[in-house]
Amino acid sequence: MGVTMDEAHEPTRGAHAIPMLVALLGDEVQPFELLAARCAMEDGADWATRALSSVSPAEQPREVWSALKNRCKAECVPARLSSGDPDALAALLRYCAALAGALRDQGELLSSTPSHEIQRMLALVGPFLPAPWDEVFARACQCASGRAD
Amino acid sequence: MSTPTSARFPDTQAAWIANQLGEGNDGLFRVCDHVMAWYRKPLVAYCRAVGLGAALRTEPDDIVNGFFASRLSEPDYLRSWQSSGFRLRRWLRNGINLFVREELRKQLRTEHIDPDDPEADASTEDPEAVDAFERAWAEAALEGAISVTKASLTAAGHLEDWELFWTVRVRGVPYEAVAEERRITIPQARHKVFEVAERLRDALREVLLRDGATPDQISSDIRAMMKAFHYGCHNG
Repeated sequence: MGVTMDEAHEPTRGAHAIPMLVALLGDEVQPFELLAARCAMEDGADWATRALSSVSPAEQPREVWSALKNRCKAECVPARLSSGDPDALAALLRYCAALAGALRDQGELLSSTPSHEIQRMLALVGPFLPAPWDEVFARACQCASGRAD
Repeated sequence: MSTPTSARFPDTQAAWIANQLGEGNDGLFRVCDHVMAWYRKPLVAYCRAVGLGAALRTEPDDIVNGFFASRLSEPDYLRSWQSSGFRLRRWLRNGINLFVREELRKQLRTEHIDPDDPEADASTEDPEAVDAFERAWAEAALEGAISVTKASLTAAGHLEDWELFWTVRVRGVPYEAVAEERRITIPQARHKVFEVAERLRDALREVLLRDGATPDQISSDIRAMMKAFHYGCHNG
């Protein structure tokens, strides 16, 4: 369980730096930042794969993404998210996937949150996701950046 | 439980450079050492990304050395920064652009430009070069903060707590597992990790304040560093 030589010499590798920096935000941390940190950890890709196993990354109708978003939103209990509860973070990841899917497929933002904040969330989490979800999030970011709030 | 960060770590770092510059040559040397230690790598990364060495037919390291030798010997250069409103790293990045232009003009023997104009090159910066600079700066800042944190833990006889923090917060090993391995309680493990995070935040806060951040900008600066590290994810 100790620090490996690679880790000892790469404390500022992106996958290590992101969780470290999230840890420094303290009480100001936002749930999606905790999610990004979870995805950046050494087992993050496997964890994300399991969390997204019930969601298809293929093109879907708006109704499918909307239904997924609403189910996951109910599971994202703020107190559980703040404590880093794994199940709550997994629900948040599926929630993000629903937003990303709808942006990619319909160009529609299924949230009242401003698009620049959604873009920031997707941009922070996306690079640490396994294929093809990293590409889904990247394309969704492009859609979000082209929207006017 | 630890005292709040703001109470444990007064905001004197924001005035550190000004205070040092008021202490004559000894203070100037301390400031120069600080600038060269913390900003060399980001400036070299920037020069390499922009290709500033090509026209001068020299290496980025030599450009940065020349820039430091030219500017840091003058106390007024850093005094000018303090009234600029820029972060120190932005000031130095602008400054090295101007320094290279000066050197080119010396080589070509053409018209003179004002070497103290901080805005001269701000509008012509390559975004990818700026990203490379910010990533190198974030790396240097975090590496330095980690070194300071480890040194303070060592002095307190608690260096092993760094590994605990790393195992839990970076590698994601559950508290239950690390507590069992170390034969401590879970609350004890949580407290140790919290203490290390506080030390690391204090150390990083010092770096950011000396760069010109205000105390209420620390969290946004940490978020900017997170964004800078994503530049490395996309670009190898």
